[in-house]
Amino acid sequence: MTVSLSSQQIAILYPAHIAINRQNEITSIGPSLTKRAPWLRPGEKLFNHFRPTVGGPEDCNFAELAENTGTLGLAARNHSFQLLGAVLSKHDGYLLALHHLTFGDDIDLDVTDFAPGDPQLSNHLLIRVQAALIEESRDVAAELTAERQRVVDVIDRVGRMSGFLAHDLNNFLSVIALNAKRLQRSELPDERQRHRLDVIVQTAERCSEFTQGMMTLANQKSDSRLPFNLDAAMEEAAALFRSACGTKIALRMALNAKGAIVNAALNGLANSIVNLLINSRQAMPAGGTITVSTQTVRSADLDIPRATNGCDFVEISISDEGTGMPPDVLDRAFELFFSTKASGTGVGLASVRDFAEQMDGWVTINSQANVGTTVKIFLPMEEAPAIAPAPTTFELTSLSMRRVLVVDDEDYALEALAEFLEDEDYEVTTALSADDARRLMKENQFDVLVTDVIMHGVDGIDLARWAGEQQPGIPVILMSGFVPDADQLSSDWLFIRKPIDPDLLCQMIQSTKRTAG
Amino acid sequence: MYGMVHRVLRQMVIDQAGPDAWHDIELKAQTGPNEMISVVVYDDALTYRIFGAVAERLELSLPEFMDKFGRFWINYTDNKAFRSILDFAGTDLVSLLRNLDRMHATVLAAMPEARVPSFKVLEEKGGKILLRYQSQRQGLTPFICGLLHGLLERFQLEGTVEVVGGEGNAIDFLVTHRQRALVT
Repeated sequence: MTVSLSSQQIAILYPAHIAINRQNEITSIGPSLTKRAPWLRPGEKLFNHFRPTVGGPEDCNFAELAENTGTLGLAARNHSFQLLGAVLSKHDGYLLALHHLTFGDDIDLDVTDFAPGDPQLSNHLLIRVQAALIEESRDVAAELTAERQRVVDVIDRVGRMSGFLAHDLNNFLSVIALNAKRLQRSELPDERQRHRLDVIVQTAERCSEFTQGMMTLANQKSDSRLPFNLDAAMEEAAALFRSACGTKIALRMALNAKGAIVNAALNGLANSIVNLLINSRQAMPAGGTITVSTQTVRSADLDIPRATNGCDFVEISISDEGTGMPPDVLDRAFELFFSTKASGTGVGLASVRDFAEQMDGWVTINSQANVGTTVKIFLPMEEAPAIAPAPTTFELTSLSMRRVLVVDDEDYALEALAEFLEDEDYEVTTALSADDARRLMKENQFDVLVTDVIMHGVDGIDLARWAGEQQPGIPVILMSGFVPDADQLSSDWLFIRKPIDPDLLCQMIQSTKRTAG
Repeated sequence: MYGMVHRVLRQMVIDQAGPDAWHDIELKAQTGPNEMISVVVYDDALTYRIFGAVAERLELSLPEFMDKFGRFWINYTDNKAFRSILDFAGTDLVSLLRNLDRMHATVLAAMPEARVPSFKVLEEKGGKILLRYQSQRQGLTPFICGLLHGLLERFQLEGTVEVVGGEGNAIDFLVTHRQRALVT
């Protein structure tokens, strides 16, 4: 078969071609070599500028190569490029139909140096496209990381602000509740007035439950490990959990871990449960029921390696009737930043897993499409609390602890509490700051110190420590909406949550004994 | 469209009107960082929503904005890793335009969901290029005008771009070009 090609067609098909006569002298070159190798000129000997990549010039029998369609390889003698191709016969010599032999993008070539069908062209472009996309991906990753950090910072600031607002609101509620309870004790003749008072007390208590939940969720200060009664904590946070479920969802709580104590971060647990409740709510757009349950589980009944340390566990289960997850999504459910929701961050479930593992526990998830999802958090159970919890009943050991120093920087709260205790025949001295309290304690002896924890200036914990040095053995009762860090507390101190239950406070005061100082 | 379009848009707005302006657009177009991933394909409706919001924020008509965006696109890609692709595709305006389809064919290998347009040089003579553009998408003619102006700028040329015909999904552009006069 004979094919006839014009010079222009040859230039397009073989941009790096070289035509030679039978004396191996160059007669013409392709446009790519004109551009890349301006030192090549017609009339010059081919092998003055190139050496064969296999064998020597004597091996380059062009007639034989053309006859057998053998491969020809040439390397520029004084330049770093190579050519590869075939030899075609023409009437006055040979056409060396060559193309550039390249390695990656190490040669400064452009698209015109390649024939249209040359696979190297696509390779070169693809390498450049991929390099550009990798650079873009790095930029994107950096941007997303910065954005997530910004969101975390905003949430943190909002959380802390909510915590402070809830704390202050809780203090005001404490004042309302204390005064209302004092009025309840007086003999009101009018039944309607008594009813109104009951409404005030109950509403303040319900509102207080909510602020407790907000503080539990928002206050990072109290997010340290502390032994607590699981079911009692769950009951306390029930209002918060209900608010997380929204109006279309019924929340069912089945608390069956009565008396079980866990040593965990209370806020972290509340956060985890709220995260799971929000997930469940979003999986049930038409409404339904979410069940939150607790139970104790014996280590021997658990068939997983992590349960071999011999201790028993509590199981906190959050179960919904939502859309569930298909297996491929379920496999990645705990993966950080993985989310199938349009506005999802992919942080919720990952943070639940991290929390459980930090607490020496673990988390499991079971889900079935169109049936629902159940997430279980397992936490190790404690034998007994490390510090004295707020007791629900007290043995009345002494009625002689009458001189009480009450410290609170909120004057209405201080006034209401003092009046309440005075009604109970205590000798009450009040101080609006830790500095005032110190001055009073230097001049007077007290049987009990009752102090708020968070105050302007010196806080209640520092005051309690100082009091222990000033009047060794003095009983201390701390009051706060926040749960203080366990490592800041002395095991002798008692703690009561705000808003204050005045009867419980009286029982606590009566139960205190001055230890040997 | 690919998220890269959104990233270039964002950079254009930030460069020309500041980060607050982009924040306003995010709110208006209901988009955010998750829609800025270069290699993810997003619904065209989202991209057009962002186009509309940007045009409004920059107080431009949609065609005016699209033309500016086309010019910015060339400037953006010329200053990133994409520059080596442009360099590889052609060292002068005509060869680049002739090679765009080959370049897009390769882009398809890396980004298989891309819906790339086609460009064909129908005639080229005496500083005039008759170029046929074909696309499955409608309404991008001002963007192509902007791109061609951007390319003239890239090769330090001056000239004009005008739509001279077309039918169906094909639009013909006449590009005139000459070396930019040196200012001394």
